[in-house]
Amino acid sequence: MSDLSLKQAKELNQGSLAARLANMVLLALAVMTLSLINADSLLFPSSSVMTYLVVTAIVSLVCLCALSIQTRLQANYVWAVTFIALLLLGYSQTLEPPTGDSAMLTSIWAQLFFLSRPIALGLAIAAGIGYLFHAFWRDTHLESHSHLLSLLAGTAFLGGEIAGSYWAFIGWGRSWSWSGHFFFSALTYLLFILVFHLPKAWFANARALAMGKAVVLGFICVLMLGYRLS
Amino acid sequence: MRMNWLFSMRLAFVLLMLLSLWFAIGVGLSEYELYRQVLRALNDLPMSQWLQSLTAAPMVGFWLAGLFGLMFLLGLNTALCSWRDLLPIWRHKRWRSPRIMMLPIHILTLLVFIFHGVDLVFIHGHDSAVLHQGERFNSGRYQIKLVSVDYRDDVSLITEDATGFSPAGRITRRSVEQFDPRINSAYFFVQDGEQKISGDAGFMRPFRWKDLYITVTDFRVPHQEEARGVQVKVLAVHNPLVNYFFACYGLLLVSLLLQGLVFWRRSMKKGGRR
Repeated sequence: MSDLSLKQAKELNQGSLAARLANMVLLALAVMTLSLINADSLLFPSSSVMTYLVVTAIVSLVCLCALSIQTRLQANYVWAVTFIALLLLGYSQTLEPPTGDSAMLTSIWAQLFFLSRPIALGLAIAAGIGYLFHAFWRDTHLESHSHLLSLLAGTAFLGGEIAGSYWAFIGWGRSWSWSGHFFFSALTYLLFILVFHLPKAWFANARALAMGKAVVLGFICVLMLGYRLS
Repeated sequence: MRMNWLFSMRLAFVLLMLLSLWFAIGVGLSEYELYRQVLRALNDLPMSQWLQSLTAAPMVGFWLAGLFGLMFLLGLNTALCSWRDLLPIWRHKRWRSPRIMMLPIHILTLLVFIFHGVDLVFIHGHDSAVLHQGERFNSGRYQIKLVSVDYRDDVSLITEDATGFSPAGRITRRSVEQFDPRINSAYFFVQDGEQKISGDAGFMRPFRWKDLYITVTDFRVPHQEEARGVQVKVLAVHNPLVNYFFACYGLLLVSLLLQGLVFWRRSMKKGGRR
């Protein structure tokens, strides 16, 4: 192996290590933040905006742990997702700490419903950025990673909808309600389904298709965050 | 006339886009007080009685007609795609195909659509009553009697004033210190002809017997009725489909997780998606 390639390999190793370290440190910080929020609350405050942001950050950071960093591009991807998680964590600290004292939170179905949203969002953020990187710099490993994450994001969201639907049934006798919240849930789930139904024939190549998926996932993320923060 | 377009994923994409847009319009409509009231009224009525409410807001009627039309087309497209593209995978026993779980995912999604539709058209609706201890009401073929109320939190917090407000406020706004749903319940006696049963129900903790679900939706003490004790608002729902509906949802979730597993194993073997 030439000196140049040895140097490149060493740089890649250092870059991967630094990205992984940042990922793990922030993950530990986020988990600690969530533990502190929980310790200060009567019940786990899953419905609060602060928990929403912290869980989103945790999930997007956990998604990175499943990726073995083999290229500089993948290291950059880890940095990008870690940066977004940092922004979410930082913003969460500007909010009022939740008390978690709502009687509604005694239901496990309510807890699962509220928790599913940030889990889906965290997965969608990591998937969307992965597709974006693949669209610009082509990395099939990253594409696989993003495909699996977007599938899990849709599944997590659906799991939450089932929990919410059951919660609505045992609490109010109906699993569907004609209200804005339910319409928004249906809209978001349909967008998750849309990610897997982009017609290949309408895109020039696989990278254009990945860009299409990144756009839909990005839109879902903005929509979910906007709806929760507004 | 060729009907191939009905089988295409392009149609599925267009329909999913249109439905997303339609729900976004629905979110917008629900922001207006008039439309919100009309939509809320639909929650308590079976579909056969919707027309009366919808004459007050034709815009909501138009939106609902569009929604059902789009859902019908998407359901049809899903069924046809499953039959033409996904069923052959199972028929030819290609168990190692990466698309093996696609058929159950699509069929279960279709079943969930159908159950929602059947629920809205034929089953939706319930009976509600406010009862003091010893009072009873009828719901369908069932006679329901409130035998006793076991309320362990501070009753003064749910005692209403002349304007109908209590210190703890609406049940959904109460803190767990003011009202803990886990320790408060009502004891019911239910009769269906010769058959009799009794049991506890609470807030978000229904009592179930056959197709009947009894849920307590509020504990309160009305103004100047303190001597009669805690009054409960009861909801009696008859829904024989609910278990099948949630079973389909559960199976759909499992199918999606299996699809993720199939994909993950395949990508591990190949080192990337091909």
